[in-house]
Amino acid sequence: MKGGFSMHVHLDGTTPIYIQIAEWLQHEIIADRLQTDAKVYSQYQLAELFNINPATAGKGLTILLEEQLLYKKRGLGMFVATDAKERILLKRRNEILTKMAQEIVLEAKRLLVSDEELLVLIRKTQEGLE
Amino acid sequence: MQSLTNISLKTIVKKQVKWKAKLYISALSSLVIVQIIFGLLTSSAGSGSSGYGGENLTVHFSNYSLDTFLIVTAIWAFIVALLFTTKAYRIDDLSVISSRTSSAIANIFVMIIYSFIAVIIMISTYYLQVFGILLVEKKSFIIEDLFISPSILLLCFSSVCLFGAIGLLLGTSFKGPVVIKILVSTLLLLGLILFFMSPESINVRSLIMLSNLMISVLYLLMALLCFSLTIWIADKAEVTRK
Amino acid sequence: MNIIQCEELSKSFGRNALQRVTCTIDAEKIIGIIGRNGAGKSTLLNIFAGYLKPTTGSCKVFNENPFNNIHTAANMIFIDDQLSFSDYLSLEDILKMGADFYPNWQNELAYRMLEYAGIDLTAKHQQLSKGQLATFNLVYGLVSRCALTILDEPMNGMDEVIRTDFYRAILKEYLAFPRTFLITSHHLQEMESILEEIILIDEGSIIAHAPLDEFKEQLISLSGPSDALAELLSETEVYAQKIMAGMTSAIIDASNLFISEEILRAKGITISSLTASEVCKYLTSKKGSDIDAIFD
Repeated sequence: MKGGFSMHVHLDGTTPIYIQIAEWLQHEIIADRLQTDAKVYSQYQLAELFNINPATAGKGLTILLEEQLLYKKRGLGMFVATDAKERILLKRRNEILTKMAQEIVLEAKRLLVSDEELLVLIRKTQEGLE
Repeated sequence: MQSLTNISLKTIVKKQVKWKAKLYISALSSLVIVQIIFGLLTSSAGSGSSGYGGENLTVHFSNYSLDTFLIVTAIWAFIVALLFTTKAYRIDDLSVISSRTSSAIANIFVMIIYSFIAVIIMISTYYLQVFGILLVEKKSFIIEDLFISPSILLLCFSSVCLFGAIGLLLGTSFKGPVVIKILVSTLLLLGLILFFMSPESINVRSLIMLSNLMISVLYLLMALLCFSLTIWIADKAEVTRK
Repeated sequence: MNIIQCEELSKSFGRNALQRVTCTIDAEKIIGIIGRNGAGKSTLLNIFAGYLKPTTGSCKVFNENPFNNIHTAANMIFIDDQLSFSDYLSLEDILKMGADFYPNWQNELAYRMLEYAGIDLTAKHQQLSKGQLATFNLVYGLVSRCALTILDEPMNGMDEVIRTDFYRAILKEYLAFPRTFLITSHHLQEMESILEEIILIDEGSIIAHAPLDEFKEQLISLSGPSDALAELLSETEVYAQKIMAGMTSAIIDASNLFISEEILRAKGITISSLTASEVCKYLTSKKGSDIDAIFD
């Protein structure tokens, strides 16, 4: 009975679970664990994997389907679209980084950190990760 | 969507009867014990006595009396029937597929089956007492004394059945605190015994020239009426689990 | 495809337990039924099960009146801590009895689950501890595979580890054999992830019935400088607020909020979502009152 739920879904209330599922799938696509034309987990498999209701998992899949990151083959399931990875990366860059940049700039302003100091901090972080 | 299960009332009643009859068997063993106790008590009064000093009760056809055993069995049936309708038993029914109707019908069939077995137990203990007395008093037995006519048997069965039916009906009708139920039931029980088994009513009956057979039929019809009323009342009842 | 339809359903026992409840419940969903003690949850479930009759209004289960209905009973099972069996049956016998009645019964599965839970099948139902009883009753309910499975506080008495296991067991059984689960619990946060919908009952009425995500998105929490928030708060329903040192944090109805997050952030206001439990709490508490008021 145990085992099999290796993934942990955050129930901290900040992000709806179906969005977390969508993001996890996108992450899998970026990381090449789900390649183009590969079959994606069904809502039932996701349900079992994450210990969530299949309808919730299904909602996550639907989001990706609507964004055309996945396509459906009748009776066979959902598959990764051809340019999914590129489009996800583009989207993420635009949305997430932009949002993070906004936050960092706002926060820096609040903490009275100057623009130059902020740029130095970012450079240091990049170097640290190399 | 998955297709729904379709089970008939008949199938459920059969299953309930099967399980209830098996489970409530301890009730029958309690009857055996009670009968033996009463048998021992009355046999010490010697043969040929009805045990009450009074005139004939319902069944006194030979030197040995079936009366005691019959009364004991009838009271037993009444009490067991009452118990069947108490909350503990009713709640058990909810743990399987059942409706108030199916449970009521199942209880009735179990009651009838048990009445039948009870009469057999009754007769057996009676014979035990007879043989016991014969052995002790070293008499030789008279065939006539041992023969119990079918009409007597039917009368026994119908009396027990009737008391059981009345017990079921009372238990189903009164859904209140157990204490009140017991009080009312005891009073009614005494009334019933007086009515059906007292000397006065016997004399009345012999006046109207009713044979044992006709009385049996009458009792069975009354039992049937009680059973029908029981089902009718049970149908309307809500279930409270707590 | 719905399996339960209620229309203006009311029930009173002296006091009004349910007041003009109207709802539909779909087939093959796991639905959480939440409400405070005395809200009317058990009464509603008892009516679905056919144990109680509505005082007024109607209730149809599988398109029939469920009261005293053998067809309803054949497709329904009601599991709570009142589930009882004859004193003469061992747990093994009880399982045999279940197998005899319920056509979809999974006896093998029952054995495996009970073995996992460390429950001795030769024991009697009355001998079990509270936690073991809850476990056994839940297993009984799960393996019966009834189209309508009602679990009224099924985890009461179980320790945390076993609870987690059995929420997962419910999910797995649902995946293996879809059916409608109606589960009540006082521990919504534990159960949340497996629910599809939630029904919130308060004082005899259904005050919310929605898919879980929609339900959670009803209310949001805002906090920021009091003056920045004041205008916003006047435009929408406020469920709770705390003011301290010039900062306000408030729980508001999100449906009337048409301002984007960026604008709010620029004003210094942070938004956060609530857990389903918190949403339930605010929707059912009397507006504006909280425990602190007693101590002020």
